[in-house]
Amino acid sequence: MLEILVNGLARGAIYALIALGYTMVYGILGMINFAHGEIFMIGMFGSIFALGALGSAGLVGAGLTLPLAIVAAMALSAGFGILNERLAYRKLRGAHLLAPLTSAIGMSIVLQNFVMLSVTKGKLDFPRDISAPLAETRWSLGPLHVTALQALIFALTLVLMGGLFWLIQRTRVGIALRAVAQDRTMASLCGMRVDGLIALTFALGSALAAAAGTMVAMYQGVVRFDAGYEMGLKAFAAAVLGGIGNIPGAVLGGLLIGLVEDITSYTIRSEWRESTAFAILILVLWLRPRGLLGERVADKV
Amino acid sequence: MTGRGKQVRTWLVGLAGIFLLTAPFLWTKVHGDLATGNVRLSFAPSNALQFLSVVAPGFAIGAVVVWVAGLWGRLGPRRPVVATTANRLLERPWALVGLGVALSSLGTLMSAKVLSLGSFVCLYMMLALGLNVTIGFTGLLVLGYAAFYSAGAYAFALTARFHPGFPAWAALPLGFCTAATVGFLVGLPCLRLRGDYLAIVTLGFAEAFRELVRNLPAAGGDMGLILSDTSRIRALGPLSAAQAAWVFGVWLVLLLSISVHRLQHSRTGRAWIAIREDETAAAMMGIPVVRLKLLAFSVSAGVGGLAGAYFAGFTGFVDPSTSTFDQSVLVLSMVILGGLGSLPGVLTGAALLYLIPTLLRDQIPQITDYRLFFFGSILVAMMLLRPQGLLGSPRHKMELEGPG
Repeated sequence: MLEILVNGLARGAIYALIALGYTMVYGILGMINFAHGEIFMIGMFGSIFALGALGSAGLVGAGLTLPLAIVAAMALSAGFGILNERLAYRKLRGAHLLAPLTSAIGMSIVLQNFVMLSVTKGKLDFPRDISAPLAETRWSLGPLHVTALQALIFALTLVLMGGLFWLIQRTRVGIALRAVAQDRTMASLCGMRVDGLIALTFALGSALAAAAGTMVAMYQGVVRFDAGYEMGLKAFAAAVLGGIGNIPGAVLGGLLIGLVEDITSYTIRSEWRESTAFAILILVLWLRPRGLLGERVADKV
Repeated sequence: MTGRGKQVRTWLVGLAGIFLLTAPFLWTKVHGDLATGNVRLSFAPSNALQFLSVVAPGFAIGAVVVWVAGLWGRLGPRRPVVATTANRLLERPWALVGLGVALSSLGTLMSAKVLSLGSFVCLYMMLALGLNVTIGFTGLLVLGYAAFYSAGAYAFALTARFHPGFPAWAALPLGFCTAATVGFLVGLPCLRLRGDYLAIVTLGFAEAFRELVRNLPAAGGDMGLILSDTSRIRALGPLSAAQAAWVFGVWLVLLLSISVHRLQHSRTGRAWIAIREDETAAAMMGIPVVRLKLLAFSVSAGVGGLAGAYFAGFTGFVDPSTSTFDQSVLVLSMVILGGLGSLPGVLTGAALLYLIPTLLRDQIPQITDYRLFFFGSILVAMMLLRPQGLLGSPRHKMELEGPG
């Protein structure tokens, strides 16, 4: 039973990292970032490219390989996040909601098919010499078994989330971000660079998604171009469950979805794991659309 | 720095950024060494050249099309010629009957291949007309439209399986009602909320629906269902089965066009447009927003189901691939390319986006793989460059671009 909890929390931590991206963009723009799942997928590929580049440079084996790969993947995804904002959102910010939604969905299709066409239609293996030692090392604390990979997921999630909270609550940039989220016009009148701050939000969310992507790539051992769709939907469900636009809510929602998924697949049927998140999404939208911690979602006039 | 210089700099920075970001995907190849699990990255320009050799001409053609459409808007006649002609036609039933008879009799001259192409064009026209009701009139994005199409097709195929001899004409109302009910139930939890939720819920629903029919033993799993000959669209009098399907399709498209047109200009249709333009204001004016959004979504889903029943009737089989994301994206791109809310627009969009890839498939085999990439690009490019679509109205342009 404890095993299920640990597995569920590890999955949940990953959903939470991705859900943060949805919730931050929603908080600042009031729009869902449909391409976020693809950004996550690009992060998965980015980590493999980085490991490959390090391998070609003969640097594999040093203890810094994995951290470097994670940072490279985060940078690549952040770049794609900014590109996404620039192409699909910036010009359409004042437009009818339909326009940015459509362009973002288009962007997500373009990114997914770009990876399929340029890399591979099939799967790409994550280098086993990096992931296998982590996945096979097990630590036991009484009845509690944790693999090194799960521990790494928890640690990384904690560090990244701590960093994000620090950035948002304690720095000048964070104050500016919150100001833009509250009132974009007013913030720009006060001299904040709204365009840059919105791009930064996309970049931050994308970097978190890429870190999650690297973890998932190690967890599953393979990456595929269509991995972003399912993960995106689940993380979105997590963001809505916690209350979209609310950062602690996204973390809570992610952990809850991860737990509920593993409990369902253990107690009912494992095939149902994939539909659990979607069922939760429908239930939340039906019963409590503002989520657990969210504010009301009525339209402002 | 002058405005122009700044613009040039932005473009250069943007292009350099895109080049850098896509470089690892395009210009390199990952080699996995399975023995040690090690990976190597090597420079592979052939990969990029192959990709660019298809994408660059495609983008060039798209740019020319958008440019010509813009030029026509600036230099062509001030009156929207296509829209007015279509309106005139739709308001004169005899002209439509004439058009229907002409197109039907043309069927006797067409070869089997052309007939099948034509029937598919009719099918996609129906789907585009249906999707247009939600996205074009009411301004709600639906990403899983194919699920309703699939629901209609499966409703027909399952009924025909348990009641052999169930005729194709009776399948149309059946498909419509089934899909409309499904649409009503899907729309119920999310239409009270903002438009984005409907998009993502329908997206998830389409996937869930596909999983459902794949795992349902009665629905034949991955193999799908094959209809018995008695249920298919059969030879009718002097017409062969293929000709009958074409005639059936033509009349359905005409009937749907006229219904959708009349609906658009009815009290309900005007209320839909009011909701699209400003939901809050519409609610203030006493329009029952949620009820009308549900109605629009159900009608739209129903038309999708009707098209699904037609599809099952003339091809004689249904399988889970009718409910893929690709199908939904195809229909969405048709509506966006042709012009949101414009009947001649969505009909043209449907014909173009079905015919171009299908006709090019023999000459350029890669087109099947690149299809979706181009559809996605169409969605982004149209929203940025020409939000009203190729044949849309200036009203839509103003509305989509917003005040700022």
